[in-house]
Amino acid sequence: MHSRDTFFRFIRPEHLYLTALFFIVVTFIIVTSIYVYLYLRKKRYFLKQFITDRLDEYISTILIGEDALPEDLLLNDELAGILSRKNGQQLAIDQLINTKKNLTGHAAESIIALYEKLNLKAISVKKFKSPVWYKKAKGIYELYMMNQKNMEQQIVKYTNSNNEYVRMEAQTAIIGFSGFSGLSFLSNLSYPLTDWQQIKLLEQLHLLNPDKMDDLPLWLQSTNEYVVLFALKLAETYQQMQVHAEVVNCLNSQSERIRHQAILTLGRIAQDDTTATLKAIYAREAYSNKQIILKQIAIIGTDDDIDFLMTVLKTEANDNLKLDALRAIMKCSLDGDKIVADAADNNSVITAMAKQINYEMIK
Amino acid sequence: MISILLIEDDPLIQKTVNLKLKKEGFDVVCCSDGKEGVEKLKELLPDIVITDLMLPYVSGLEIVSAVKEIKEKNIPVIVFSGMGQEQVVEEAFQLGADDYITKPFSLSELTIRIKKQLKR
Repeated sequence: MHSRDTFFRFIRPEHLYLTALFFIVVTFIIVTSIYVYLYLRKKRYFLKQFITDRLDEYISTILIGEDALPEDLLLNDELAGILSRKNGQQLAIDQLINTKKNLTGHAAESIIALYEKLNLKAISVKKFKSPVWYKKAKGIYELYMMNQKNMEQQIVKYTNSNNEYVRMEAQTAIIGFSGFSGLSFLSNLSYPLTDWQQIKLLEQLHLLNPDKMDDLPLWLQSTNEYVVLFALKLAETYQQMQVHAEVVNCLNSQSERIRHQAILTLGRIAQDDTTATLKAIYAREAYSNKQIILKQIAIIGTDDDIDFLMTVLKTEANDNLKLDALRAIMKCSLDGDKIVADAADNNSVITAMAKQINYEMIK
Repeated sequence: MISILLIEDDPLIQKTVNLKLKKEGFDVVCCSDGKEGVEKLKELLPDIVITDLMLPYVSGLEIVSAVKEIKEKNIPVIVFSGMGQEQVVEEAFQLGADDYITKPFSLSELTIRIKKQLKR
């Protein structure tokens, strides 16, 4: 009874009415907002669809034409209206870029001509000149995709931008414009070149005919660890035998990653003394690099390397390294199986490893 | 008139290829996904099928299989593949694809390949 009185002393019926009214109003506002939001979203979606359809129709008609585009493109009022709007212009650029990724030949040339004639390049240049990093990066991407080579000198400055995304887009663009000679940006690069970017650049270069890389020795001696790493990958991929000495020098790097990549690269540009070099550094190397050395010796080694491999087999404590040494022995010598059988004599671990290797060979 | 079933999910590529092939005098039916593609294939029994390998709902590989299961007619299939899809292209050939064209491609090259398949 006492608690009921206290409740009604503080909460009067008019309070409850007001609270109910408050919740009704709030619910109404929330429902209305959701409805308006969904309506606007739907409207925006249909508008985008409408613009895209009109642009698609127009672009596809232009692309199948076999002649060069006329000086003055005829646009109907609807299209002119669409292309005077900011979102219409951006949709047109996106559509042209997307199509250019899929088409080559005359159609691709028409896409670029259309981009220029519709004055869409000005939109991309405006983005490129923006101080906002994501606009700048997008602008570079658009100019590159539309093969605007005359912008190269302006874009090249951003290959060493302090913004990672701007830098990546600029580097991709320069390789796209100039191929292997575009790699000259490596000489001035003071920021990191991420693994992902390295993969992308190598993939981009893979589509081109290999060309001379005169500055490769300089890149291999760069103070930027990322440049050295990428240069080593270039030397490996394109078998740049002339930089053997510089690659050997990289084996003295403080960075384990550089030494790792240098070992891999040496496997591809091996000379007579390469295995001797690898054997000399084996003892001081980290585990993963030891593994790579043994794998490289398996590829480039000869009978002369058997003694070293036998020493590894006898002295190395790690079983994985022993296994790699055994594999290398099998590959370096024609008598590999006999040597392995002798080594396995009275040694149960090596006997088991030899069985594994024989199984691998049969497989 | 020679009928072509074109299965491609990119609307602009679909429209461009469609217009180009129509201009070359073919009768083209377009589909934007694999499911619709299989339905149209069974309904129309076209003279040739051109399909992208990466499609929604039903993949290009399944379309190749569906085409080769048709007993009434020997229908050649040309597949569109992207860069680095060599393994999928190999699979497509194992399933019976007759030719492939890598994106980016030229419209005239596509037309030549279609005509070559039709001559066989």
